[in-house]
Amino acid sequence: MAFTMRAVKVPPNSSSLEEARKRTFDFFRSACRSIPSVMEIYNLYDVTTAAQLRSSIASQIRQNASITNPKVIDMLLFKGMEELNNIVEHAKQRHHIIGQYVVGNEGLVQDVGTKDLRASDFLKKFYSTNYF
Amino acid sequence: MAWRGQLSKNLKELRVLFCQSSPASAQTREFVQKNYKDLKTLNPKLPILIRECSGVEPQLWARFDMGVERGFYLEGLTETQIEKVLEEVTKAGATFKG
Amino acid sequence: MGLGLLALRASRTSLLGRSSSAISRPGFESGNPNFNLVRWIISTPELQKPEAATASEPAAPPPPPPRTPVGGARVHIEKPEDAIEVFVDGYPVKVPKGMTVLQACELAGVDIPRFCYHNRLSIAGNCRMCLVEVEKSPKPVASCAMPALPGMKIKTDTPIAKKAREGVMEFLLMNHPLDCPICDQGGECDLQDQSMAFGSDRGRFTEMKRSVVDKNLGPLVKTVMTRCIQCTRCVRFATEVAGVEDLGMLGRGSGEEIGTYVEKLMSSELSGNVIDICPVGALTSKPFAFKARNWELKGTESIDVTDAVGSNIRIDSRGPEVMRITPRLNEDINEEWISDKTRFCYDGLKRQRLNDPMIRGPDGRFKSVSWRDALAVVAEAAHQVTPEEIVGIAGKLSDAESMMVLKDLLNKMGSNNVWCEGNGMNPQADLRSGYLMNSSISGLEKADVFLLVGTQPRVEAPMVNARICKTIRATKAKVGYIGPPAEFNYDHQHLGSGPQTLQEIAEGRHPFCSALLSAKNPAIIVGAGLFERKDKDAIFSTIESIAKQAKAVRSDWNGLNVLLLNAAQAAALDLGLVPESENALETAKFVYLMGADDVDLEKLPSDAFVVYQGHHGDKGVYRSNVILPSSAFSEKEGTYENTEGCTQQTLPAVPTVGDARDDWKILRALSEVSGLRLNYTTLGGVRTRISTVAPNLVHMDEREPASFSATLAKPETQQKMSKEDFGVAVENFYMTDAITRASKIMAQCSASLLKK
Repeated sequence: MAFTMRAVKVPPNSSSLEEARKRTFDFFRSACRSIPSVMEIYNLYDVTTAAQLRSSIASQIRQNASITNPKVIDMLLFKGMEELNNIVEHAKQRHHIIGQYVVGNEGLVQDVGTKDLRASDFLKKFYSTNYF
Repeated sequence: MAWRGQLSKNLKELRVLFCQSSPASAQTREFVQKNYKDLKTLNPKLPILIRECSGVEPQLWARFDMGVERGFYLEGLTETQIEKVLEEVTKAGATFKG
Repeated sequence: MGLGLLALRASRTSLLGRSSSAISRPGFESGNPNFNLVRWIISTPELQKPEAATASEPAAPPPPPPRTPVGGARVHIEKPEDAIEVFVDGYPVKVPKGMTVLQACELAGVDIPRFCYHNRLSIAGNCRMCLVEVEKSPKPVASCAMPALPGMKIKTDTPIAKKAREGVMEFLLMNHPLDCPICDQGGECDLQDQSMAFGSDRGRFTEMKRSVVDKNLGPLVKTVMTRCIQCTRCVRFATEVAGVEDLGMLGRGSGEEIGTYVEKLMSSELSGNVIDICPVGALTSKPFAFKARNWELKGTESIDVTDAVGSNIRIDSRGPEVMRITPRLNEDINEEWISDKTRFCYDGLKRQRLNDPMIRGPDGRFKSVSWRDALAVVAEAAHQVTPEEIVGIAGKLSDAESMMVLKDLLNKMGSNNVWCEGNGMNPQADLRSGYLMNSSISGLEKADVFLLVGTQPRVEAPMVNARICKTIRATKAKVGYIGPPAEFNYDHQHLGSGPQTLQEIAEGRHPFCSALLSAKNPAIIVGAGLFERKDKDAIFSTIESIAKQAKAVRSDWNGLNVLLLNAAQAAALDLGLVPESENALETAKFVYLMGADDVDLEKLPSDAFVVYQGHHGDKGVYRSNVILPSSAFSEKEGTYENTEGCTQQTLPAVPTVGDARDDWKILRALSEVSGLRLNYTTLGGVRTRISTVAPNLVHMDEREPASFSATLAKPETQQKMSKEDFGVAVENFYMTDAITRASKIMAQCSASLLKK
């Protein structure tokens, strides 16, 4: 299936924001549908769950929630589709998936956030960087 | 003038800030000129920091134990008034100690 | 030399040159209209037919816009009758008597090309690049050597002047290799710039170029002697400023060479400056060779911290790396020179750096931890001791902000034992005159007798030594020196080596007294190495009595000076970093070392908890339990006060290494973790706090003189001077602090240049 998707031409631009929105939901659905096979291919059972992967995909889509230009949305959807294809085709390796979708942007050291509750703004910034 | 000897007991550091030339600091300069030797002789281990800087208002700062500080502006005060301020500071320091 | 300016002048040239020559000609050689029909070989077409220019005389030229002096040059004329008026390209300009034509032209806004002329060196007049035309003079004159005379009409843009420059350029390039692509001077080369601006587009030289054997001047200066154009700037610099007669001119004609007369290295602590003054690529920086081009570098104007002078420097960086350090002009401090240590210490910034917070485990090995854990451990350790057992020591490279925060934090913990290494255990911090260079560095030039007590300025502060050397060369001032045998680069009398000699002078029994008493402006310079002595108060009171006898402290002249050793010392004393008890270290249980490496930690109890906050893994690290990495002077904004009391600041040139933080931020964070939150969170906040302690430290680039001299009214000391001789404060000039000790170049220098 995946290899045939590559042959598919670039779809015509969305004519309106509504259409782009609909396509986004379609994309999210197709991504969710491929999660079980992704879990299988990359053997992710011991590091994550399907629900976590789903929320990770959703959060990446939500990062661009503010975009209203249908052309830009189309472009992002195209990129997302490419990424999905690459993952499903096993064009990536396990650590790519773990790094990007399981660990996420916060890095390996996850701050549970209980220690710094009483810390001032200064101290929080101090722990993360020298430049503030 | 017994309080003068109490200075090093109650205070950890005394700072006098003033300008080298401005008339506003003239009284403070005079005060330092006349009293520094006496204060230092009675309190040889107390840092009495005389700090000059052009254009600065005359000030007197006292540091007590545990980093507590208290400052006074000396502009417009005469020498005797400055001495009064210092005496008060010294006595205040005694309460901080307790 | 600004090429933009040159281009501007070139475009304006023709009109101006023609008209002025047309006006002046009739009276001078009216009989011979063909005077200018000499055969000139000039490539610039408009210069080939100057007579055509004369013929087509334009109607009154438009008044040219007024020009601004070159480089903002200003002149102060003391007496109006001493001013003379000269005309530069038709503009009248008033200059004081005795100025040269070249200087007059600079005031008039005309930059004359030059190679051998340098305004801080004597005039040689041998490159001939600065030729200009002076009316009524038969030949072009070398403007750098010709004094300006009243009514002189100087023309800098005439065909004669241009042709002269073009000719000189052709001769210079004859024997200069065409290796600009592999030359380190490329991009900042006077010869390159001036040949573009004034040179011809072709040469007529077809023979072989001469070649000269390269000289070995040591690990700092790389020589490619074939590139040398014999301007002799380096020779004059070595003799006049550095005070060593190591370099000289050998041979004559085309066999002329610069070199050391016998095979030897250049034994000066200012030798790096020949790199800057060399107008071509003959003398370049050896550590910088083939590393970068000057147009790739980002310059940051900063301050040197390797000694107490605070030389103004520019840190050239590329990305995260410091590539080189060059001097910046500051007439009051370092003029335009810097010492070799300042210039070449930068490779120490890349070695031995601490990049992560670390805790020493039970096995004695350091383990990297997060900042959160490291600070928690430190705060915990500080809570377990009584306030009297807490000690904080600031290092010699600390900036004023971090020392302020260190002092505030420890005061809040209840400890009063905060001090800065090098100031001794009983420093006199009350009166600023007691630890500053009161006559100021530039003020030393007014002195006519120097008395150096326990200080070797040549190794302790080479820039101050250069001032003394300059004064001595100019006025033949006398120098007396008390201390262990030391090397000087000027005439001096070695009076003795210890306090006895001082006593003799104070009692008037010493032959040097007559010189001291008859001096108009005697300067006594006391080395900060004496701060560590037990009998320091007695020595200083003896020196004060000498100063009183010699009338060294008056309202118009304060000649009682202290020469400090480290960049942090002055600010530390200003902020009142004074230990409460002299034996604080022996009883300490919690020691906070802020970059302090030269503290004698042997005295410390073995169960003491030591925190080392610093940027280099130097001596202090060996005994420490926790390491907190901080930023070096090239990576932070920090205030430093130099030995004369001038406040200056460093600016960050490169990012910090690894997970390091600025010193004051670490202490501020620690204050919060240990529950003693200090009430400032920004650098501005720290500076506001400093202004309630020592407001002079927030007046940037200002020298705040002390108003009360040390002789004011100090209580008399009961101490007696011991018989022990003065010691050497700086054993190895090239390695004095954590940065220089980590530097490979400095290690090479100590190996090859220090006499065994």
